Amino acid sequence: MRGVDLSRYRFDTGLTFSALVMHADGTTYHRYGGRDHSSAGVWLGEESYAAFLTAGLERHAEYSEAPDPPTFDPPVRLEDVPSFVVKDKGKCIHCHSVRSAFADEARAAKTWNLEDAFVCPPPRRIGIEVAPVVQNRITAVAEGSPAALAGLAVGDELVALANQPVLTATDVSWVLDGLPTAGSTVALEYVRAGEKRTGELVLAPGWKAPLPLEYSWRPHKWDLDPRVGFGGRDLSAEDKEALGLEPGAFAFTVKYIVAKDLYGPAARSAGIKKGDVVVSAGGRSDFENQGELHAWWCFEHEPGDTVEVELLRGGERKTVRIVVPG
Amino acid sequence: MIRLLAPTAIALGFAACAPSKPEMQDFWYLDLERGEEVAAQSSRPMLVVFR
Repeated sequence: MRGVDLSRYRFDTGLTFSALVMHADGTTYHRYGGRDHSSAGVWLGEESYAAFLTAGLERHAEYSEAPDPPTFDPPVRLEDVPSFVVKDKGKCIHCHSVRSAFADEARAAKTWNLEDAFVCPPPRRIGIEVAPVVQNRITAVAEGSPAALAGLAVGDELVALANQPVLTATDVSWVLDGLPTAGSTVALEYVRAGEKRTGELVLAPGWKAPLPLEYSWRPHKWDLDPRVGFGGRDLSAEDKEALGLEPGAFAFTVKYIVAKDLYGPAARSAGIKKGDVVVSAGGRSDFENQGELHAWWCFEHEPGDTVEVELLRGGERKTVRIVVPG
Repeated sequence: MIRLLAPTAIALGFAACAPSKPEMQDFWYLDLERGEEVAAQSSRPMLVVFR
């Protein structure tokens, strides 16, 4: 990210691969990339990438007939942001550093709001699943969801959301990113059986809050408070079997306890030790992975809450109670 | 100014498109970590990749 003008090149910086097709004036035609808790490459593929490039050429030809250059905020580079400057080692700047740096800036200015972390909601946040290749084609609609109430159905192809063209899952997420958490009514355009239709998507207050599993892969979760303060390695099926756990059970070994913040010492004083195998927290043993636990912890807890953590140590089950500091 | 680059990941993407369009020369490329700067021109769209 070194040298990149963040005002001009705007995308989901949590992704491991992100591509934009743009006009030289800064107009972005389409975005490509995407990720979810199951895989960093879930939305990546040759056919969808080819479709993205082809659509980019088509939109460029259309746009060039009547350009409408956007305006941008003054250029911002991450290496000029004070909270990043103190961390900058002069090496490659990872994309995920962007959210962390601006969150640190907001905390320093006391303007930080947890809702700022609700970034780039996946299509399922509005109640749809989309196809991995033709990524604007709807493959499932959740009953009672905003998408269902808007009349969307399996097989429909979204072509515009909030008056912005959409082709990829990343396009959809980016448009959703720009909508307020407080709720809104959003124009839809879609194609059903070759016929273009319109509709309205009604998003209720709080719609943008992610499920912990949706957020589990985002590197930015490590910067959100309150934090767990410890972590380690998810156990393999073989490791679980050796401990008498089901292959699909939630379990991870504590490999580290953070020393430099409030949270690690709170966990340590509650009784967490390196080598413990954590099997549940807050009565939940259905976390898909450790990342989901970390996201759940920060989204659903406040200072003063007590979280019971169940663990295995030396063949015995133990429960420790961590009072969330803050 | 942008920088011209044809990184492997992008090349693989275009290989998937062959023999039909799009082709690599249909785009300008941006990768600020590597490559040689060239002037962005509106004759072609820019493909910007972060990885």
